[in-house]
Amino acid sequence: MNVTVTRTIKATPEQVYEVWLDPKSPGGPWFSARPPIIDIKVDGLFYHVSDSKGRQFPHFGRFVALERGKHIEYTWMSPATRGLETTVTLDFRAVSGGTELVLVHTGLHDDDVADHDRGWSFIADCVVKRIER
Amino acid sequence: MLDTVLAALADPTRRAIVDRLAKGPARVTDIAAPFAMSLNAVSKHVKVLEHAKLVRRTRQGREHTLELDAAPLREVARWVNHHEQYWTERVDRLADFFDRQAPTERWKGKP
Repeated sequence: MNVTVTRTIKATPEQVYEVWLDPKSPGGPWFSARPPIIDIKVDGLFYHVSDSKGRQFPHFGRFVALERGKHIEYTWMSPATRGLETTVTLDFRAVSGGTELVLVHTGLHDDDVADHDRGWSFIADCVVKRIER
Repeated sequence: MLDTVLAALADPTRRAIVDRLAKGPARVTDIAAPFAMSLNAVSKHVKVLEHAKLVRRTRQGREHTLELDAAPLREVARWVNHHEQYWTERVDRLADFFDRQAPTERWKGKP
């Protein structure tokens, strides 16, 4: 099961890439987290804790691929991944108006059971909407 | 819970049953009618859905009525929404950061 977020950002792919990996940049994803331990290299590790609703959530992972201005991939574990090592990938593509960023979070549940994705799509696409209407 | 619900919905027949029950409660025989399979085979699918707590069965004499329980579906949806919200917030923050950049620093023109 995957989560995908796509957005066009008003900057070059290189700028977007750099800000995403900069723990000191307020535009980056690590900014509000404590302590931003982040070793930006392939096989480098990161660890940070974020607060939500009075609870602390540790996140940790390992950089798998780093291609400047093109691609970032790291593993991602948090209480919300329920013990599974999931994967986050970001792809950057120059488009008219800036950079198209595609962020994909994969492996969000145990894929050992076949067809889970279809089960999830079903929930997302039809039943929940119909019930909540 | 998550895996049980997703496994229950991995099968197209069971998805069709849930889809049917989303319209309202129904008898097992009514549920089975559109399927080219025995009542017994459909009952087995219903049992999987009951195990996942997606379907509740009530008995009145010999009549068995099935009803959808949407709570497990909502819980799975909430769990995925958590991740979607998490990354959307971070990508929004990134987009806002570049939107707020001074015009001189902002990237201009085409790649």
